Amino acid sequence: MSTISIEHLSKSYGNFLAVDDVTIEIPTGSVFGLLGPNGAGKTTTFKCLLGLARSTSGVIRFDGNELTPALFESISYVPERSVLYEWMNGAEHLEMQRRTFKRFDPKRAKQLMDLFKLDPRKRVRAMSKGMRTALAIVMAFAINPETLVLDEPTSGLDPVNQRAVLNLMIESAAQGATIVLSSHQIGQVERAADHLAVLQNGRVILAGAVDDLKSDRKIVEGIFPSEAIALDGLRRDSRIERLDQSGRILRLTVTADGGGLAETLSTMGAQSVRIVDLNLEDIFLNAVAPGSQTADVVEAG
Amino acid sequence: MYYYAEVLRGMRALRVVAIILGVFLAIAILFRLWAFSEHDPAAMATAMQSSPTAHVTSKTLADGTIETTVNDPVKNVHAVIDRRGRLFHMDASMPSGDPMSHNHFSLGNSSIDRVQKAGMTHIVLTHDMTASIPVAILFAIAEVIGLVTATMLGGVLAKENDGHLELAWTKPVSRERLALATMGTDVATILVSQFATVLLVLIVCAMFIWPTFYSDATTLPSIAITLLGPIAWYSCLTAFSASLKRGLGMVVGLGWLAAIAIPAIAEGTARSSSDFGRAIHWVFQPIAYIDPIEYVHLSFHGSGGMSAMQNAPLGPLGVSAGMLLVLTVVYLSLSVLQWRRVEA
Repeated sequence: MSTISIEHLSKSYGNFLAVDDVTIEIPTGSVFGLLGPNGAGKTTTFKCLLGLARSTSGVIRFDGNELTPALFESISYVPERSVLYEWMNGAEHLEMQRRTFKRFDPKRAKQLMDLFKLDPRKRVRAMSKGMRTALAIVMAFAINPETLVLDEPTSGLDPVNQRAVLNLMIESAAQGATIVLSSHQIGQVERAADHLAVLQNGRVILAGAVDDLKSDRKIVEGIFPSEAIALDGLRRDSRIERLDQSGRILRLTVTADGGGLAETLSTMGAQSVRIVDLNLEDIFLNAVAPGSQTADVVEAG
Repeated sequence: MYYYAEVLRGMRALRVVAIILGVFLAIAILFRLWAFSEHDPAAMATAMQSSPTAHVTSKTLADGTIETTVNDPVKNVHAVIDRRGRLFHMDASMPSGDPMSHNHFSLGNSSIDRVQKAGMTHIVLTHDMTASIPVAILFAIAEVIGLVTATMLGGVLAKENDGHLELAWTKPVSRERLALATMGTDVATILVSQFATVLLVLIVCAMFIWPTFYSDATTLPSIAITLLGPIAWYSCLTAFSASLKRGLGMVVGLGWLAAIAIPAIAEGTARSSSDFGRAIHWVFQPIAYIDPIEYVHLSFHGSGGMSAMQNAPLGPLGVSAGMLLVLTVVYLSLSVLQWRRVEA
């Protein structure tokens, strides 16, 4: 299986347009992060991708082919909320996977159960949210899938198990699996993802390779002696995409010539100036919430 | 086996059935011990005949009955015991210290009448093992358990809708095949519960008397009705809930209420002379036709309370069996058609 392509996908519930003309290309073997605020349409996109919800329009292809039931032999999905059977225990869920998927690897399942310290005899109804998430992760990875779709895969997990899930994703991707994940933990996505798309109000507002998105922009940060900073000239500068002031600190998101703008800030009286790479959180916030940072003054360039 | 979860669910239902049947069996055993401990005909006759002071004579009557007379003047015991094939009759009197009383107990074709008076007990015991009952009655009893199992398993697709679709629909199998396999598993479970009940009834029969089972022209359609009834009811519950994500309990609860009430209303208003009554009948009668419970409403007629089993309101047994089959197929098809359109 190779590229997953989503072309002009739309999904509406009544008058509500949950996903609006989304086009995404997910390369084979990549870790693809789908980011967006709550209600952006991430889960709906996943459901349409896997045929769990009917798209209103658009085409989804796996390596150029439409999704068929047989393809699920090599696709795993971990939904955002637990879909496990409350009355079954861990061992029974794994047995269900074993009987359903030819690729199920019982040794790997055992290793993963041990990794997450899960008791196979424990019924799901007696499990915490984190344990349920961990069991779903075990079930997903135990079939050695070629494609993993993970919707908030670390939800409810403690930091140790969150790290374990990240490692599993990276390990699987290294072995050629394609991983599509959404997470509110941007730091985790940053560690694992090499491609991403940002959804807002059902639309893709940013997409691409993480490295490209980062290299396109820089942060120029200056610390001034007082909060009274003359911003007039900067507001008109076309190289500045976004301008945030938080007290004496001025942060400029720039699309070109970071060095020149650093000199400008020095000329304006900045006590110290530095140029830093954008992190994923910056990219995400720049995309979805231009005014939501802790800045006292935020102005888009 | 992508329907493994359903197999487990079926086994859980069968555990409940096993508990119910186990309770019945325990009650039957206790009843057997209580009812026959002191009135076991064979044991009583043997005890009287083997007394060293008893004078025992036997003769064969014209109808083949072997009549044994026991006179024990020392113990003041007198008895006449008739045996013919599987029929046992004993009329005996013996001393008793118990206060005056009169007890009568009967079970099927067996009865004990015991009168205690003036220090003597007079017992008339008839144990008729020649009883014959229709074989279909075994399945009629099993039908009740089948309906219980069907109610437990009914609405299986709604159970999947309620938070498990992401698990069910990411299996490498089509929705139609998954639905059919799931429902097929449940149908098999219902049948197992019914045959287990038949087995239990046979065991209980053997504990008391072993009747002669007979079959006639009504047997096959009757058994078909008893087997298909719960399956049709299961299919009905599943069809009416296949697109629901919640509220299955209400469908099952109201379903039973409606399934019993609708035919009753239709029947009750069938001969109404008022326009309102006729209107009610015209509304409810068509609904009654698609109600599986309408066709599994069984009654028993004949001597001894148990003979030919007859289907009550809608004509010949074969038609009812056919209707149940049609309803099963239609409801299962509707279930699949609805389920394939549900979204997670």
